[in-house]
Amino acid sequence: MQIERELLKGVLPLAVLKLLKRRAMYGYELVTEVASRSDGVLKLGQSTLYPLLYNLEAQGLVESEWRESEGSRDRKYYKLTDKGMQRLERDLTQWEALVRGMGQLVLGGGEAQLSWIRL
Amino acid sequence: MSDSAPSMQSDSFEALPVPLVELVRRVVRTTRLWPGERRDVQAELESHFREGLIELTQEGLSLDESVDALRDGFGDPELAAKLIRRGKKRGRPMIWKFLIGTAVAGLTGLGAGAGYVAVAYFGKPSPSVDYVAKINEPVHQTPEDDRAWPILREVILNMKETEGFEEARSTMPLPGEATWPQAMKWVSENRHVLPNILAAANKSALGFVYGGSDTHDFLIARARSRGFHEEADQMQQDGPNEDPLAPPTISILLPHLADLRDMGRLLVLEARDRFYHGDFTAAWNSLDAVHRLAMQLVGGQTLIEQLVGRAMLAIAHQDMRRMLFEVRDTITSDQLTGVAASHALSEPERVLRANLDGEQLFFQDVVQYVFTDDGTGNGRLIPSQYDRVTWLGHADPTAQPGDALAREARTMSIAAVHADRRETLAKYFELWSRMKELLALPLYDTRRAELSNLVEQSLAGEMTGRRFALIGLLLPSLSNADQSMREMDMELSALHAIVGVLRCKLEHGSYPSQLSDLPPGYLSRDPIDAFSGLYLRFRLSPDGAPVLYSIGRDMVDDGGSTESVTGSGGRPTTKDIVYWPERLGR
Repeated sequence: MQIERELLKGVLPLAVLKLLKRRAMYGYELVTEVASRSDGVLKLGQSTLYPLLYNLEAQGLVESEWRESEGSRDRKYYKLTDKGMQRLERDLTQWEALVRGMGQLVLGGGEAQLSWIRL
Repeated sequence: MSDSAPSMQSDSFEALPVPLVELVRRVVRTTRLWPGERRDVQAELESHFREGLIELTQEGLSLDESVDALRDGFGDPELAAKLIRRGKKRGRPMIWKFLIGTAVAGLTGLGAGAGYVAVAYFGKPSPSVDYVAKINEPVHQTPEDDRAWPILREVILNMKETEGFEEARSTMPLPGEATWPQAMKWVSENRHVLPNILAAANKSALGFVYGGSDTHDFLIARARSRGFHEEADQMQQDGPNEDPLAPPTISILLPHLADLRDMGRLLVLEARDRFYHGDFTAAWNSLDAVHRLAMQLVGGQTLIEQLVGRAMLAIAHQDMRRMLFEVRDTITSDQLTGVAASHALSEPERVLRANLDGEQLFFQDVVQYVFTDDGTGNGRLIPSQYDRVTWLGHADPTAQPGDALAREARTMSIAAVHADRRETLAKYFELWSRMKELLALPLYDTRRAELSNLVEQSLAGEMTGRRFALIGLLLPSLSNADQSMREMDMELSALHAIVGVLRCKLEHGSYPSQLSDLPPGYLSRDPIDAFSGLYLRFRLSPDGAPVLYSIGRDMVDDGGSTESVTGSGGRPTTKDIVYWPERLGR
């Protein structure tokens, strides 16, 4: 499924922070992880990823460092900062509230899925 | 892509293929960042493509295919460069930001000065019509004794927010479910206001007066009643937010909508409790009161009120249908007579349609504040006023300091080519007229498809878009609101049909095989399916249970299927809209 760009805007930073909570990752790895862990629903184009990472870095939510990896290739790894961790916790709480609210709005919430009472 | 092969020196891709090198160079060059920043971005993008090439070729793609995949997957290089620049700039040292901020502030000051010069040049608005008074005309035509708002205002100030009520109202539980105790506590603590809500529901109109100091006083009183005394004091000190240059219709506040919706929820929960305890009549009366309150909102002048009313009607009618389904084998003649006489079913001739008059008044009010008036009904667009309206509608809290200048420049460029007042109004009413023609068509008429992008199509082209930018900004696409209201009307028809088939069962011992088989007089309203123009579908399921449904937005009869599908515009919907048994998957 192709998700509209506007919808993705608010979701992708949260997805990236969530992935970085597990371990430090480099850009290409984030692209593939986001896609595979969201069953392909979230597709992070490279033209979106790096601006997003730079924004998160500017806000102090992630920090980066160049490391030499296997095959002597240099990779720039991003990891979550303490501030990023706090933001992640806050955003996850808001996300859950949003999902609940949207479920209520779109599906009629509890009313849509419940069987009715009997006399 | 034969040019890529020679560039490959080893499977670690230390030297990237030419197309990717060019892509990286193009992006980096376009960012116009500082040299050090550019080097960092370049190294990272090269590293990115290197990893991609290794992985894709290991997965079995040829080098050319891998290069193509990476290049295609990168997206728009210009956009990427722009966004990378923005991101990197945000990460620059504070001292640099300070210097730039100072410079921008200076330039903004100059820009503002230029703006004032522009206002002096283009003139000032001279509004002559009180459109708020016009919007209020129907309100004032209602005698004060027939208005619900004075009662509801006091109800709102006396409603209590109990612990856990937010969860209860968001989940709207049924008896026995997890949040039912919180729901009952909320109902119990507010039982003292229920008689007043019922009294207000019996009034003929809401009677909420738009704008003015009443709303401000109400907001202060409401804040105090909820214990927010500091906020109330602050509001009192600030006074009503009166910007003499802002179109007053834009400043109208509708603080009662959320509270009215809460009252609806409260009454529905009360109805569920009554029904659970065997009091069908009391439960029905509570739901009927929700119907009446909702109809007061549906009669409002603003589209948002009408849509909130529609949402309240939906929840009331859903519970009405559920309740009637549960008692379908036990309902008495007296109970059914009571149902048929209730407000929800006693106005069969009333057809629900969106009232769009308020939207027109709103636009005309904006026009008189955004254009000059040369005394002949014509005038020029005033840039600062256009900017004010744009800002009111689309304030961007994340805007950067430099955005103000860009906005000002955009406004000035629009003002330079925008159509004059007379031409703008003529174009608006031309579009409005076409929109009304299309909205009058039934939902199954294929010509309605034009509605989905009527405004965009009509204002297509950069120059036309700029000439009528105000229309593009303020003329909403009304097809969704219209469809929503038509679906609401159909729900009302479904309720009439249900009462008809129940009466048939009560008096003849069995359900009809279809609605058209009902004896004359059993249907107080033609149960037309808005998606087909024919009667709603009614049949008996194999176990003998009645099923009533509309063929739904896909306009295909799926036999009453509630399977989820994606409807037009990507909106989730069900194959058919099932009213009976209870409607699922809204």
